[in-house]
Amino acid sequence: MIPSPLAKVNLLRSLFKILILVLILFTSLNAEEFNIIYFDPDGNLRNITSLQSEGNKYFQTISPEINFFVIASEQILNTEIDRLKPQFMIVQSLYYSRQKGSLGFKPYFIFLTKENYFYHKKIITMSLEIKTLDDLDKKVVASALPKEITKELTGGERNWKILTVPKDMDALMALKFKQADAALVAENSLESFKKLDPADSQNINPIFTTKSIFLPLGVSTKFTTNKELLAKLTETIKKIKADANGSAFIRMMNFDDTSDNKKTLGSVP
Amino acid sequence: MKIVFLSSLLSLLLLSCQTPTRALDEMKFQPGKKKVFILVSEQISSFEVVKNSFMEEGKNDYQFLSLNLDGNYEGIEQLPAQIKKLKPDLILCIGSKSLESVAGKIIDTPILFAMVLDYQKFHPEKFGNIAGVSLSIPPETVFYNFKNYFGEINNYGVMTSRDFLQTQKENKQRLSNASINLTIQETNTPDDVPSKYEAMKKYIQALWMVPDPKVISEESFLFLVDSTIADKKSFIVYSEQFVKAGALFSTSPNYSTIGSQLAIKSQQILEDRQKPSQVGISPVIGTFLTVNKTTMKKLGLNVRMDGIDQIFE
Repeated sequence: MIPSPLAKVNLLRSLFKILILVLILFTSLNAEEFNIIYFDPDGNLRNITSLQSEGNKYFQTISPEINFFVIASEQILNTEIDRLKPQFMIVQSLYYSRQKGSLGFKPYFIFLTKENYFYHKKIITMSLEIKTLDDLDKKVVASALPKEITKELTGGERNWKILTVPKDMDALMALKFKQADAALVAENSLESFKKLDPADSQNINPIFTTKSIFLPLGVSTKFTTNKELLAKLTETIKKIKADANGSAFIRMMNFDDTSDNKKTLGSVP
Repeated sequence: MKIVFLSSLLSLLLLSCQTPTRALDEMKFQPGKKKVFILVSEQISSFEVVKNSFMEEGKNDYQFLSLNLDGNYEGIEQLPAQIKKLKPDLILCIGSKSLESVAGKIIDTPILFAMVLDYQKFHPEKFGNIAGVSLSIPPETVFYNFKNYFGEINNYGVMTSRDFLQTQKENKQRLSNASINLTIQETNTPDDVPSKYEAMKKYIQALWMVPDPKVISEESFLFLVDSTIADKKSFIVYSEQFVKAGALFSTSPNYSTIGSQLAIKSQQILEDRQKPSQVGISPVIGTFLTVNKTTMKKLGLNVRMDGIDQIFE
Protein backbone atom coordinates (compact mmCIF):
# COMPACT_ATOMS: atom_id res chain seq x y z
CA MET A 1 0.00 0.00 0.00
CA ILE A 2 1.39 3.42 -1.03
CA PRO A 3 1.14 6.01 1.76
CA SER A 4 -0.79 9.13 0.96
CA PRO A 5 1.13 12.47 0.77
CA LEU A 6 -0.55 13.56 4.02
CA ALA A 7 0.65 10.44 5.82
CA LYS A 8 4.17 11.11 4.49
CA VAL A 9 4.09 14.63 5.91
CA ASN A 10 2.89 13.31 9.27
CA LEU A 11 5.64 10.69 9.29
CA LEU A 12 8.26 13.34 8.51
CA ARG A 13 6.86 15.55 11.26
CA SER A 14 7.09 12.70 13.78
CA LEU A 15 10.65 11.92 12.72
CA PHE A 16 11.55 15.59 13.05
CA LYS A 17 10.04 15.70 16.56
CA ILE A 18 12.04 12.61 17.57
CA LEU A 19 15.19 14.21 16.16
CA ILE A 20 14.55 17.38 18.20
CA LEU A 21 13.97 15.30 21.36
CA VAL A 22 17.21 13.38 20.81
CA LEU A 23 19.05 16.67 20.28
CA ILE A 24 17.61 18.14 23.49
CA LEU A 25 18.52 15.00 25.40
CA PHE A 26 22.04 15.03 23.96
CA THR A 27 22.52 18.71 24.81
CA SER A 28 21.25 18.27 28.36
CA LEU A 29 23.55 15.28 28.85
CA ASN A 30 26.46 17.30 27.60
CA ALA A 31 25.62 20.29 29.84
CA GLU A 32 26.98 18.47 32.88
CA GLU A 33 27.71 20.41 36.01
CA PHE A 34 31.15 21.87 36.44
CA ASN A 35 31.74 21.92 40.18
CA ILE A 36 34.49 23.94 41.82
CA ILE A 37 35.43 23.25 45.45
CA TYR A 38 37.38 25.68 47.62
CA PHE A 39 39.15 24.15 50.60
CA ASP A 40 41.70 25.99 52.72
CA PRO A 41 41.73 25.25 56.45
CA ASP A 42 44.03 28.24 56.96
CA GLY A 43 41.90 30.64 54.97
CA ASN A 44 38.76 32.67 55.29
CA LEU A 45 36.34 29.77 55.36
CA ARG A 46 34.23 30.97 58.25
CA ASN A 47 31.88 33.21 56.36
CA ILE A 48 30.99 30.35 54.06
CA THR A 49 27.58 31.55 52.88
CA SER A 50 28.79 34.94 51.69
CA LEU A 51 31.95 33.51 50.17
CA GLN A 52 30.01 30.85 48.33
CA SER A 53 27.54 33.44 47.05
CA GLU A 54 30.31 35.84 45.95
CA GLY A 55 32.18 32.97 44.26
CA ASN A 56 29.09 31.76 42.42
CA LYS A 57 28.37 35.31 41.27
CA TYR A 58 31.83 35.48 39.71
CA PHE A 59 32.11 31.96 38.29
CA GLN A 60 28.64 32.03 36.73
CA THR A 61 29.70 35.01 34.64
CA ILE A 62 32.20 32.59 33.09
CA SER A 63 29.62 29.83 32.60
CA PRO A 64 26.21 29.08 34.13
CA GLU A 65 27.31 25.43 34.36
CA ILE A 66 29.74 26.29 37.17
CA ASN A 67 28.77 25.67 40.79
CA PHE A 68 31.10 26.88 43.50
CA PHE A 69 31.28 25.15 46.88
CA VAL A 70 33.20 26.20 49.97
CA ILE A 71 34.09 23.37 52.35
CA ALA A 72 35.58 24.03 55.75
CA SER A 73 36.60 20.64 57.07
CA GLU A 74 38.73 17.93 55.51
CA GLN A 75 36.38 15.28 56.85
CA ILE A 76 33.45 16.80 54.94
CA LEU A 77 35.66 17.39 51.91
CA ASN A 78 36.57 13.70 51.68
CA THR A 79 32.94 12.68 51.41
CA GLU A 80 31.87 15.60 49.20
CA ILE A 81 34.59 14.97 46.62
CA ASP A 82 32.99 11.65 45.68
CA ARG A 83 29.58 13.26 45.43
CA LEU A 84 30.48 16.51 43.66
CA LYS A 85 33.30 15.14 41.49
CA PRO A 86 34.87 18.62 41.18
CA GLN A 87 36.35 19.45 37.82
CA PHE A 88 38.35 22.24 39.42
CA MET A 89 39.50 22.95 42.96
CA ILE A 90 41.09 25.78 44.88
CA VAL A 91 43.09 24.02 47.57
CA GLN A 92 45.49 24.74 50.38
CA SER A 93 49.04 23.94 49.28
CA LEU A 94 49.62 21.38 52.07
CA TYR A 95 46.47 19.52 51.01
CA TYR A 96 47.63 19.77 47.38
CA SER A 97 50.96 18.15 48.26
CA ARG A 98 49.27 15.30 50.11
CA GLN A 99 46.56 14.59 47.56
CA LYS A 100 48.01 15.52 44.17
CA GLY A 101 48.63 11.88 43.27
CA SER A 102 45.31 10.43 44.36
CA LEU A 103 43.17 13.29 43.01
CA GLY A 104 45.22 13.88 39.86
CA PHE A 105 45.80 17.58 40.59
CA LYS A 106 47.31 19.73 37.85
CA PRO A 107 48.07 23.32 38.98
CA TYR A 108 47.01 26.28 36.84
CA PHE A 109 47.51 29.24 39.15
CA ILE A 110 48.47 30.27 42.65
CA PHE A 111 46.97 33.10 44.68
CA LEU A 112 49.01 36.12 45.69
CA THR A 113 48.86 38.41 48.72
CA LYS A 114 50.92 41.58 48.57
CA GLU A 115 52.80 40.00 45.65
CA ASN A 116 53.82 37.05 47.83
CA TYR A 117 52.78 33.51 47.03
CA PHE A 118 53.78 31.99 50.34
CA TYR A 119 53.66 32.77 54.04
CA HIS A 120 55.10 31.45 57.27
CA LYS A 121 53.67 30.60 60.63
CA LYS A 122 55.52 30.95 63.89
CA ILE A 123 55.38 29.22 67.22
CA ILE A 124 55.40 32.00 69.79
CA THR A 125 55.39 31.97 73.57
CA MET A 126 55.31 34.42 76.46
CA SER A 127 57.06 32.02 78.80
CA LEU A 128 60.74 32.61 79.45
CA GLU A 129 61.19 28.92 80.27
CA ILE A 130 60.19 27.81 76.77
CA LYS A 131 63.04 28.21 74.31
CA THR A 132 62.67 25.29 71.90
CA LEU A 133 59.86 23.08 70.63
CA ASP A 134 61.06 20.32 72.97
CA ASP A 135 60.27 22.55 75.96
CA LEU A 136 56.61 22.35 74.91
CA ASP A 137 56.32 18.71 75.96
CA LYS A 138 52.90 18.17 77.62
CA LYS A 139 52.18 21.89 77.20
CA VAL A 140 49.20 23.56 75.51
CA VAL A 141 49.71 24.95 72.01
CA ALA A 142 46.87 27.01 70.50
CA SER A 143 46.43 26.72 66.75
CA ALA A 144 43.81 27.69 64.19
CA LEU A 145 44.92 24.83 61.96
CA PRO A 146 43.64 21.26 62.16
CA LYS A 147 45.75 19.12 64.49
CA GLU A 148 47.30 17.04 61.69
CA ILE A 149 48.48 20.16 59.83
CA THR A 150 49.79 21.74 63.03
CA LYS A 151 51.84 18.58 63.60
CA GLU A 152 52.98 18.47 59.97
CA LEU A 153 54.21 22.06 60.10
CA THR A 154 56.05 21.61 63.37
CA GLY A 155 57.96 18.43 62.66
CA GLY A 156 55.52 15.57 63.24
CA GLU A 157 54.06 13.83 66.26
CA ARG A 158 54.75 15.62 69.53
CA ASN A 159 53.44 15.30 73.04
CA TRP A 160 51.55 18.59 72.92
CA LYS A 161 48.03 19.41 73.94
CA ILE A 162 46.69 21.25 70.93
CA LEU A 163 43.94 23.77 71.62
CA THR A 164 42.06 24.15 68.36
CA VAL A 165 40.73 27.68 67.92
CA PRO A 166 38.89 29.30 64.98
CA LYS A 167 41.29 32.15 64.23
CA ASP A 168 44.88 33.26 64.82
CA MET A 169 43.56 36.13 66.95
CA ASP A 170 41.97 33.54 69.28
CA ALA A 171 45.31 31.71 69.51
CA LEU A 172 46.97 34.99 70.46
CA MET A 173 44.30 35.69 73.08
CA ALA A 174 44.81 32.17 74.47
CA LEU A 175 48.44 33.11 74.96
CA LYS A 176 47.58 36.48 76.51
CA PHE A 177 45.14 34.92 78.96
CA LYS A 178 47.53 32.07 79.78
CA GLN A 179 45.23 29.42 78.37
CA ALA A 180 48.05 28.23 76.15
CA ASP A 181 51.81 28.01 76.64
CA ALA A 182 52.46 28.70 72.97
CA ALA A 183 50.57 29.59 69.81
CA LEU A 184 51.04 28.83 66.13
CA VAL A 185 50.16 31.99 64.20
CA ALA A 186 50.87 33.63 60.85
CA GLU A 187 53.40 36.45 60.75
CA ASN A 188 50.77 39.00 59.67
CA SER A 189 48.49 38.01 62.59
CA LEU A 190 51.37 38.62 64.96
CA GLU A 191 51.96 42.01 63.36
CA SER A 192 48.26 42.91 63.84
CA PHE A 193 48.43 41.85 67.49
CA LYS A 194 51.51 44.01 68.07
CA LYS A 195 49.50 47.05 67.02
CA LEU A 196 46.57 46.07 69.26
CA ASP A 197 48.58 45.20 72.35
CA PRO A 198 52.06 46.70 72.25
CA ALA A 199 52.64 46.01 75.96
CA ASP A 200 52.02 42.25 75.90
CA SER A 201 53.64 41.92 72.48
CA GLN A 202 56.97 42.85 74.05
CA ASN A 203 56.83 39.60 76.00
CA ILE A 204 56.23 37.44 72.94
CA ASN A 205 59.17 35.31 71.82
CA PRO A 206 59.11 33.38 68.56
CA ILE A 207 60.79 30.00 69.00
CA PHE A 208 60.11 28.38 65.64
CA THR A 209 59.27 29.39 62.07
CA THR A 210 57.60 26.92 59.75
CA LYS A 211 58.78 26.17 56.23
CA SER A 212 57.23 28.36 53.52
CA ILE A 213 53.54 27.61 53.12
CA PHE A 214 52.38 28.33 49.61
CA LEU A 215 49.08 30.15 49.18
CA PRO A 216 46.19 28.10 47.74
CA LEU A 217 46.39 26.78 44.20
CA GLY A 218 43.81 26.46 41.44
CA VAL A 219 43.97 22.91 40.10
CA SER A 220 42.19 20.60 37.70
CA THR A 221 41.42 17.13 39.02
CA LYS A 222 41.01 13.55 37.92
CA PHE A 223 37.32 14.39 37.41
CA THR A 224 38.03 17.12 34.83
CA THR A 225 36.29 16.23 31.58
CA ASN A 226 35.17 19.60 30.22
CA LYS A 227 38.54 20.79 28.87
CA GLU A 228 36.92 23.62 26.93
CA LEU A 229 35.41 25.15 30.06
CA LEU A 230 38.61 24.50 32.01
CA ALA A 231 40.53 26.54 29.42
CA LYS A 232 37.93 29.33 29.52
CA LEU A 233 37.98 29.35 33.33
CA THR A 234 41.74 29.50 33.70
CA GLU A 235 42.05 32.16 30.99
CA THR A 236 39.37 34.31 32.66
CA ILE A 237 40.94 33.95 36.10
CA LYS A 238 44.15 35.50 34.75
CA LYS A 239 42.17 38.76 34.59
CA ILE A 240 40.31 38.25 37.89
CA LYS A 241 41.66 41.45 39.43
CA ALA A 242 40.23 43.57 36.60
CA ASP A 243 36.74 42.10 36.98
CA ALA A 244 34.47 43.75 39.59
CA ASN A 245 32.92 40.44 40.77
CA GLY A 246 36.25 38.66 40.63
CA SER A 247 38.06 41.33 42.56
CA ALA A 248 35.34 41.36 45.28
CA PHE A 249 35.56 37.58 45.47
CA ILE A 250 39.35 37.35 45.94
CA ARG A 251 39.31 40.26 48.38
CA MET A 252 36.85 38.27 50.48
CA MET A 253 39.30 35.36 50.42
CA ASN A 254 42.00 37.84 51.51
CA PHE A 255 44.03 37.56 48.28
CA ASP A 256 45.08 40.28 45.85
CA ASP A 257 45.68 38.45 42.59
CA THR A 258 46.66 35.18 40.93
CA SER A 259 49.82 34.09 39.11
CA ASP A 260 50.30 31.32 36.57
CA ASN A 261 54.09 31.52 36.70
CA LYS A 262 55.23 28.02 35.73
CA LYS A 263 58.42 28.19 37.80
CA THR A 264 56.46 29.08 40.94
CA LEU A 265 53.83 26.42 40.31
CA GLY A 266 56.59 23.89 39.73
CA SER A 267 58.24 24.73 43.04
CA VAL A 268 55.18 23.73 45.10
CA PRO A 269 56.10 20.34 46.57
CA MET B 1 -4.32 -4.66 65.67
CA LYS B 2 -5.98 -2.79 68.52
CA ILE B 3 -3.82 -4.61 71.06
CA VAL B 4 -0.61 -3.68 69.20
CA PHE B 5 -1.72 -0.04 69.03
CA LEU B 6 -2.64 0.08 72.73
CA SER B 7 0.59 -1.58 73.86
CA SER B 8 2.63 0.88 71.73
CA LEU B 9 0.72 3.77 73.26
CA LEU B 10 1.34 2.36 76.74
CA SER B 11 5.09 2.00 76.08
CA LEU B 12 5.20 5.59 74.82
CA LEU B 13 3.40 6.78 77.94
CA LEU B 14 5.78 4.85 80.18
CA LEU B 15 8.78 6.27 78.34
CA SER B 16 7.52 9.82 78.68
CA CYS B 17 6.90 9.28 82.41
CA GLN B 18 10.40 7.88 82.95
CA THR B 19 12.53 10.18 85.09
CA PRO B 20 15.96 10.96 83.65
CA THR B 21 17.60 9.29 86.61
CA ARG B 22 15.97 5.97 85.73
CA ALA B 23 17.95 5.94 82.49
CA LEU B 24 21.10 5.86 84.62
CA ASP B 25 20.15 2.45 86.02
CA GLU B 26 20.81 0.90 82.65
CA MET B 27 24.17 2.61 82.11
CA LYS B 28 27.48 0.90 82.72
CA PHE B 29 31.09 1.72 81.83
CA GLN B 30 33.25 -0.99 80.28
CA PRO B 31 36.58 -1.94 81.87
CA GLY B 32 39.60 -0.33 80.24
CA LYS B 33 39.73 3.29 79.15
CA LYS B 34 39.21 6.11 81.64
CA LYS B 35 35.56 6.84 82.28
CA VAL B 36 33.93 10.22 81.64
CA PHE B 37 30.30 10.83 82.55
CA ILE B 38 28.63 13.72 80.71
CA LEU B 39 25.55 15.33 82.21
CA VAL B 40 23.67 17.80 80.01
CA SER B 41 20.85 19.99 81.34
CA GLU B 42 18.84 20.57 78.22
CA GLN B 43 18.49 19.76 74.56
CA ILE B 44 20.13 22.90 73.17
CA SER B 45 22.17 22.88 69.98
CA SER B 46 25.11 24.83 71.45
CA PHE B 47 25.28 22.30 74.35
CA GLU B 48 25.45 19.51 71.78
CA VAL B 49 28.28 21.26 69.93
CA VAL B 50 30.29 21.49 73.18
CA LYS B 51 29.62 17.84 74.01
CA ASN B 52 30.45 16.55 70.53
CA SER B 53 33.62 18.59 70.25
CA PHE B 54 34.76 17.35 73.69
CA MET B 55 34.01 13.72 72.80
CA GLU B 56 35.72 14.01 69.42
CA GLU B 57 38.89 15.30 71.06
CA GLY B 58 38.90 12.57 73.69
CA LYS B 59 37.60 9.64 71.65
CA ASN B 60 40.92 7.75 71.60
CA ASP B 61 41.63 8.05 75.30
CA TYR B 62 38.32 7.93 77.13
CA GLN B 63 35.00 6.13 77.19
CA PHE B 64 31.88 8.21 77.61
CA LEU B 65 28.45 7.79 79.11
CA SER B 66 26.08 10.65 78.66
CA LEU B 67 22.72 11.69 80.08
CA ASN B 68 20.67 14.60 78.78
CA LEU B 69 18.14 15.70 81.41
CA ASP B 70 16.22 17.35 78.59
CA GLY B 71 14.87 19.99 80.96
CA ASN B 72 13.17 17.33 83.10
CA TYR B 73 14.56 17.72 86.62
CA GLU B 74 12.24 15.32 88.39
CA GLY B 75 14.18 13.09 90.78
CA ILE B 76 17.33 15.16 90.21
CA GLU B 77 18.28 14.82 93.90
CA GLN B 78 18.99 11.14 93.28
CA LEU B 79 21.48 11.89 90.53
CA PRO B 80 24.67 12.26 92.65
CA ALA B 81 24.23 8.83 94.26
CA GLN B 82 23.50 7.20 90.91
CA ILE B 83 26.44 8.86 89.18
CA LYS B 84 28.74 7.76 92.03
CA LYS B 85 27.65 4.16 91.43
CA LEU B 86 29.04 4.41 87.89
CA LYS B 87 32.46 5.31 89.37
CA PRO B 88 33.45 7.81 86.68
CA ASP B 89 36.99 9.24 86.63
CA LEU B 90 35.60 12.62 85.64
CA ILE B 91 32.19 14.27 85.33
CA LEU B 92 31.45 16.91 82.69
CA CYS B 93 28.44 19.13 83.38
CA ILE B 94 27.02 21.09 80.47
CA GLY B 95 24.45 23.67 81.55
CA SER B 96 23.55 25.28 84.84
CA LYS B 97 21.14 22.66 86.19
CA SER B 98 23.58 19.81 85.62
CA LEU B 99 26.31 21.59 87.61
CA GLU B 100 23.81 22.49 90.33
CA SER B 101 22.83 18.83 90.68
CA VAL B 102 26.37 17.65 91.51
CA ALA B 103 28.32 20.67 92.85
CA GLY B 104 29.06 20.04 96.53
CA LYS B 105 27.26 16.69 96.38
CA ILE B 106 30.04 14.82 94.64
CA ILE B 107 33.35 15.99 96.02
CA ASP B 108 35.70 13.06 95.44
CA THR B 109 35.48 13.02 91.63
CA PRO B 110 36.77 15.84 89.40
CA ILE B 111 34.00 17.89 87.81
CA LEU B 112 34.34 20.04 84.73
CA PHE B 113 31.62 22.45 83.66
CA ALA B 114 30.67 24.60 80.69
CA MET B 115 27.72 26.66 79.42
CA VAL B 116 26.91 27.91 82.93
CA LEU B 117 26.19 31.64 82.88
CA ASP B 118 26.36 32.30 86.61
CA TYR B 119 28.71 29.57 87.83
CA GLN B 120 29.87 31.72 90.78
CA LYS B 121 26.63 31.02 92.62
CA PHE B 122 27.70 27.37 92.99
CA HIS B 123 30.96 28.47 94.70
CA PRO B 124 33.20 26.03 92.80
CA GLU B 125 36.29 27.26 94.66
CA LYS B 126 34.80 25.94 97.93
CA PHE B 127 34.92 22.29 96.90
CA GLY B 128 38.31 21.96 95.18
CA ASN B 129 37.09 19.37 92.67
CA ILE B 130 35.53 21.75 90.14
CA ALA B 131 37.13 23.35 87.08
CA GLY B 132 35.60 24.60 83.85
CA VAL B 133 35.14 27.14 81.12
CA SER B 134 33.07 30.19 81.95
CA LEU B 135 30.84 31.82 79.36
CA SER B 136 32.47 35.20 79.72
CA ILE B 137 34.50 36.68 76.89
CA PRO B 138 37.21 39.01 78.18
CA PRO B 139 36.60 42.62 77.04
CA GLU B 140 40.11 42.63 75.53
CA THR B 141 38.96 39.88 73.17
CA VAL B 142 35.91 41.94 72.20
CA PHE B 143 37.79 45.17 71.58
CA TYR B 144 40.88 43.65 69.92
CA ASN B 145 38.66 41.81 67.47
CA PHE B 146 36.63 44.96 66.84
CA LYS B 147 39.73 47.12 66.35
CA ASN B 148 41.25 44.48 64.11
CA TYR B 149 38.46 45.18 61.61
CA PHE B 150 37.30 48.71 62.35
CA GLY B 151 40.64 50.37 63.10
CA GLU B 152 41.93 52.67 65.82
CA ILE B 153 38.78 53.13 67.89
CA ASN B 154 39.74 53.57 71.52
CA ASN B 155 36.84 55.28 73.27
CA TYR B 156 34.09 52.90 74.31
CA GLY B 157 31.06 53.29 76.55
CA VAL B 158 29.15 50.72 78.57
CA MET B 159 25.94 50.89 80.58
CA THR B 160 25.87 48.64 83.59
CA SER B 161 23.66 48.07 86.60
CA ARG B 162 25.01 48.16 90.14
CA ASP B 163 25.31 44.34 89.99
CA PHE B 164 28.17 44.49 87.49
CA LEU B 165 29.59 47.91 88.32
CA GLN B 166 32.66 46.57 90.10
CA THR B 167 33.45 44.18 87.23
CA GLN B 168 33.27 47.05 84.75
CA LYS B 169 35.51 49.22 86.93
CA GLU B 170 38.08 46.42 86.91
CA ASN B 171 37.70 46.09 83.14
CA LYS B 172 38.25 49.84 82.76
CA GLN B 173 41.45 49.65 84.77
CA ARG B 174 42.80 46.70 82.78
CA LEU B 175 41.79 48.10 79.39
CA SER B 176 43.64 51.35 80.07
CA ASN B 177 46.88 49.32 79.77
CA ALA B 178 45.95 48.73 76.13
CA SER B 179 45.09 52.45 75.64
CA ILE B 180 41.38 51.68 75.58
CA ASN B 181 39.16 54.17 77.43
CA LEU B 182 35.97 52.75 78.84
CA THR B 183 33.30 55.21 79.97
CA ILE B 184 30.91 53.59 82.45
CA GLN B 185 27.34 54.77 83.05
CA GLU B 186 25.52 53.13 85.94
CA THR B 187 22.04 52.29 84.63
CA ASN B 188 19.64 50.39 86.85
CA THR B 189 16.54 50.27 84.67
CA PRO B 190 15.97 50.11 80.90
CA ASP B 191 13.93 53.33 81.22
CA ASP B 192 17.14 55.21 82.09
CA VAL B 193 18.93 54.04 78.94
CA PRO B 194 18.05 57.11 76.76
CA SER B 195 19.27 59.66 79.31
CA LYS B 196 22.41 57.68 80.18
CA TYR B 197 23.25 57.26 76.51
CA GLU B 198 22.79 61.00 75.91
CA ALA B 199 25.11 61.72 78.83
CA MET B 200 27.97 59.58 77.52
CA LYS B 201 27.66 59.85 73.74
CA LYS B 202 30.02 62.77 73.27
CA TYR B 203 32.84 60.85 74.99
CA ILE B 204 32.58 57.62 73.03
CA GLN B 205 33.15 56.29 69.52
CA ALA B 206 31.47 52.94 70.16
CA LEU B 207 28.91 51.56 72.58
CA TRP B 208 29.44 48.13 74.12
CA MET B 209 26.37 46.23 75.31
CA VAL B 210 26.88 43.52 77.94
CA PRO B 211 24.35 40.92 79.18
CA ASP B 212 22.62 42.85 81.94
CA PRO B 213 18.84 42.41 82.32
CA LYS B 214 18.57 45.67 84.26
CA VAL B 215 19.78 47.59 81.21
CA ILE B 216 18.50 45.65 78.23
CA SER B 217 14.90 45.43 77.17
CA GLU B 218 13.56 45.19 73.65
CA GLU B 219 12.71 48.88 73.76
CA SER B 220 16.06 50.03 75.13
CA PHE B 221 17.94 47.86 72.63
CA LEU B 222 16.00 49.28 69.66
CA PHE B 223 16.54 52.79 71.00
CA LEU B 224 20.29 52.15 71.06
CA VAL B 225 20.29 50.70 67.53
CA ASP B 226 18.59 53.83 66.16
CA SER B 227 20.56 56.30 68.27
CA THR B 228 23.99 54.83 67.55
CA ILE B 229 23.27 54.85 63.81
CA ALA B 230 21.98 58.45 63.99
CA ASP B 231 25.08 59.50 65.96
CA LYS B 232 27.46 57.48 63.72
CA LYS B 233 28.65 55.36 66.66
CA SER B 234 29.46 51.68 66.41
CA PHE B 235 27.25 49.39 68.47
CA ILE B 236 29.04 46.27 69.78
CA VAL B 237 26.92 43.48 71.27
CA TYR B 238 27.42 39.98 72.69
CA SER B 239 25.15 37.88 70.49
CA GLU B 240 24.60 37.50 66.76
CA GLN B 241 20.84 37.85 67.30
CA PHE B 242 21.36 41.50 68.23
CA VAL B 243 23.47 42.04 65.11
CA LYS B 244 20.72 40.50 63.04
CA ALA B 245 18.38 43.03 64.68
CA GLY B 246 20.56 46.02 63.72
CA ALA B 247 23.64 46.29 65.95
CA LEU B 248 26.97 46.55 64.13
CA PHE B 249 29.26 43.84 65.51
CA SER B 250 29.22 40.94 67.93
CA THR B 251 31.76 38.69 69.56
CA SER B 252 30.23 35.55 71.00
CA PRO B 253 31.68 32.18 72.06
CA ASN B 254 32.71 29.52 69.58
CA TYR B 255 31.17 26.45 71.20
CA SER B 256 33.43 23.97 69.47
CA THR B 257 36.47 25.65 71.07
CA ILE B 258 34.83 25.32 74.50
CA GLY B 259 34.79 21.55 73.86
CA SER B 260 38.48 21.70 72.94
CA GLN B 261 39.28 23.70 76.10
CA LEU B 262 37.42 21.12 78.22
CA ALA B 263 39.29 18.26 76.53
CA ILE B 264 42.60 19.86 77.48
CA LYS B 265 41.42 20.35 81.07
CA SER B 266 40.38 16.69 81.25
CA GLN B 267 43.86 15.65 80.04
CA GLN B 268 45.48 17.88 82.64
CA ILE B 269 43.37 16.24 85.37
CA LEU B 270 43.35 12.63 84.17
CA GLU B 271 46.79 12.33 82.53
CA ASP B 272 48.94 14.97 84.20
CA ARG B 273 47.33 14.42 87.61
CA GLN B 274 46.69 18.12 88.17
CA LYS B 275 44.06 19.04 90.72
CA PRO B 276 40.88 20.66 89.33
CA SER B 277 41.60 23.69 91.51
CA GLN B 278 44.97 24.05 89.72
CA VAL B 279 43.36 23.62 86.32
CA GLY B 280 40.90 26.38 87.25
CA ILE B 281 38.13 28.19 85.45
CA SER B 282 39.02 29.73 82.10
CA PRO B 283 37.38 32.38 79.94
CA VAL B 284 36.11 31.50 76.50
CA ILE B 285 38.95 31.57 73.99
CA GLY B 286 37.39 30.85 70.59
CA THR B 287 35.19 33.56 69.14
CA PHE B 288 32.35 33.83 66.64
CA LEU B 289 32.26 37.23 64.94
CA THR B 290 29.30 38.75 63.15
CA VAL B 291 28.71 42.02 61.31
CA ASN B 292 25.60 43.75 60.03
CA LYS B 293 26.46 45.03 56.55
CA THR B 294 23.40 47.29 56.32
CA THR B 295 24.31 49.02 59.58
CA MET B 296 27.89 49.25 58.37
CA LYS B 297 26.72 51.08 55.24
CA LYS B 298 24.50 53.40 57.31
CA LEU B 299 27.56 54.30 59.38
CA GLY B 300 29.59 54.91 56.22
CA LEU B 301 32.05 52.14 57.07
CA ASN B 302 33.75 49.83 54.61
CA VAL B 303 35.93 47.18 56.16
CA ARG B 304 37.42 43.85 55.07
CA MET B 305 35.29 40.81 55.84
CA ASP B 306 37.83 38.00 55.95
CA GLY B 307 37.55 36.10 59.22
CA ILE B 308 34.02 37.35 59.96
CA ASP B 309 31.94 34.26 60.71
CA GLN B 310 28.55 35.61 59.71
CA ILE B 311 27.38 38.68 57.82
CA PHE B 312 23.82 39.96 58.12
CA GLU B 313 22.32 42.30 55.55
